Amino acid sequence: MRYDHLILGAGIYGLYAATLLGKRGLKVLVAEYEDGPFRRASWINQARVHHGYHYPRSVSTALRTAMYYRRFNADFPFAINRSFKKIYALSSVGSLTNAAQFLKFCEHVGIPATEINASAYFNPQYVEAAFETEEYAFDPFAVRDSLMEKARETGKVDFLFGARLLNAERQGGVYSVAFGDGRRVEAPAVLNATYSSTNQVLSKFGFQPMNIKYEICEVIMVGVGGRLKDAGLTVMDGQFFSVMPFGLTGSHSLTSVAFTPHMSSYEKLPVFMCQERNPECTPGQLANCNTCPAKPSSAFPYMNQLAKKYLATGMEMGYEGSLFAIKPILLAAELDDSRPTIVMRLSEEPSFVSVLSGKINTVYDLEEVL
Amino acid sequence: MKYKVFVSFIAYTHNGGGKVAGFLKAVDDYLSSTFECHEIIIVNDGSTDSTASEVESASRGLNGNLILINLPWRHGLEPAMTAGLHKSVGDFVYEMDSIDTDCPDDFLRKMYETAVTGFDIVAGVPEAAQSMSSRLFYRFINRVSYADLHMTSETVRLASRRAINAMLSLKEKFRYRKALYLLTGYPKKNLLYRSPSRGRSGRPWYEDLDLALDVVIGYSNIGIKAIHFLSASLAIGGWAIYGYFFENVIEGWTAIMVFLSCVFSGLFFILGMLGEYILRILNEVKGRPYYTVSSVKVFSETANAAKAGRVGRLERDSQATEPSR
Repeated sequence: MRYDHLILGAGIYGLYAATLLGKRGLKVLVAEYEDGPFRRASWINQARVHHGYHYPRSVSTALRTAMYYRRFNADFPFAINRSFKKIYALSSVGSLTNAAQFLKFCEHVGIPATEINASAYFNPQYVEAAFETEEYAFDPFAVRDSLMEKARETGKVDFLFGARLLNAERQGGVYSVAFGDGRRVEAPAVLNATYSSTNQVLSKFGFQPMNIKYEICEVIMVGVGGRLKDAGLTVMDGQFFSVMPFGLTGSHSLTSVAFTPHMSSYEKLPVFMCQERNPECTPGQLANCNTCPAKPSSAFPYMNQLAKKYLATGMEMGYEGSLFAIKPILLAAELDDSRPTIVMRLSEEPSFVSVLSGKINTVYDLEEVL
Repeated sequence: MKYKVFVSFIAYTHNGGGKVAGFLKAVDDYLSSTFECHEIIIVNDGSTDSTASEVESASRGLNGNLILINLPWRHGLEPAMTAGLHKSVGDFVYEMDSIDTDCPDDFLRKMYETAVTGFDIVAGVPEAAQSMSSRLFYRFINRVSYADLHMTSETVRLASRRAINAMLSLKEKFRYRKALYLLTGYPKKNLLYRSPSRGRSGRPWYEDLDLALDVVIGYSNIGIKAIHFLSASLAIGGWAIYGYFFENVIEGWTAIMVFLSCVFSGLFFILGMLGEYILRILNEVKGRPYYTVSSVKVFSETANAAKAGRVGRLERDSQATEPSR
């Protein structure tokens, strides 16, 4: 089969690229390992529409994020939860940024921050200052449905779910890609939008893998009541935590820098001990952590304990469930905490583009290269 | 039966490389058999040996999270333990000032059981293992202090979250937890245990002396009183000696020299004492942080279990863990 463009990965980047290319009249195939779109990182994250507050030590990342923030909110208004107060607090011990520096940073980037009484939400002993900010949560399911709808509307986008990428080779001006069901797809352009499988795809296409650290991450769903119901809280800047509405689901997500990652792998192709228990999951092809029989037990006791220490009394949360996914982190980004979107054009004819980004609303970076 | 409580265990080490693995194993065995959930925090106080890598390899097979706090240079016990306390999240926290402490599991359990009967702070006191110098020191400080301290040698301590919060919020720059906990006013109990070995701080004598001086100055007015007393007595002493020599020595030279040396030694002592107080004022005014951290490493429960070949769901089912508040 022949397509104008082959997209690997049906997450937000893959689907956004598919609608973009489909609208131009190109015949597109989206190949996805899972049985449906948005089964991994596009679903399993904090569901935060980043406005830049997260990066007080990387103004460039913050500026770029703030730029896309409005656009994302305008494009997906039906998927945005605006009905909560977003509070950022700075820990009084162990924070890499203090309140004055944070305010100055917000001013510089041009994002609103108003100091509030920290004891309304936090144990004031451990929090230097708290700021009310403007940031929303997106609903991954609503974003998924809208992008699928838009892709179908173009009439040019085909989907191949349950795809097993076997190998790829260059044949003149096209890539010939073989899948596990015997299907062979030829396309003059390929987009690698597989996030945690970026390096596996790169190596199957014969490119150099990137320097990536992999983490098995857990996003915990919690039920909250009282004041926490209408609030999203983030304690910065270091190994702290965040609890905020998970899209429009009615649950909150609970994550923490120290306890969200369960295991790390510094290999170019991810090696985890739990792969021994799941023959489907290998360094060459990651299976889905969320349905894995060897998934870790929840770190909820640790995260809950950390939150309990920082939050004011009467802000309990109840465990509802855990979501697991693998997160790739560019090793170069650890020093300044920047989260650049990496878009690489590795080949011109045939075209091969690889994208890796840690944020949902920087999806617009794709436009520059497609 | 395990107690349904989250416990943190903080231990201090400086160049304890060879002993870390055995210590961690023993503590983890105790904690995981007694409490439903725990974390161990090792504060590595500027070790120049392989402590950091020993801790990393000893994380294999532990049943809870292990946190390693590396301090960039040697801070001393009190600032280092403060770093550990700031990191801890437990409802109850054990503080062990040295990984050499050989305190039996039964005793650690008894400390917790005592705490829940209404004591926010429970201290483990090694029985009859106090050295002469520390016995003298505690007798002295308990006598001269204006606070009702009742201090003695403590090798391990268990404190409740509210006591830790109260202790950490005391603003004093000179941290001496033993006295600070007492100042919080929460009920405290000392428990004796029989230590197989003689309790030693593991610090060289001059550091112990330094700490002793800090405590005396921090928690008593004895220095100021001594200055007044000394100024008076030296004056009298000088006069007496002068009188003794007045009859025999015509030249008067010896007498003047003795007189001068007495007065000057007194003056220098006074200046020294004043200097100590001024140093403390300076430290308070500078407002430096208690400690500086070079890195914090978290060895997660999942990774520790996986390193020992246990992968997948562990016995503790996360669904069953109720939030304890």
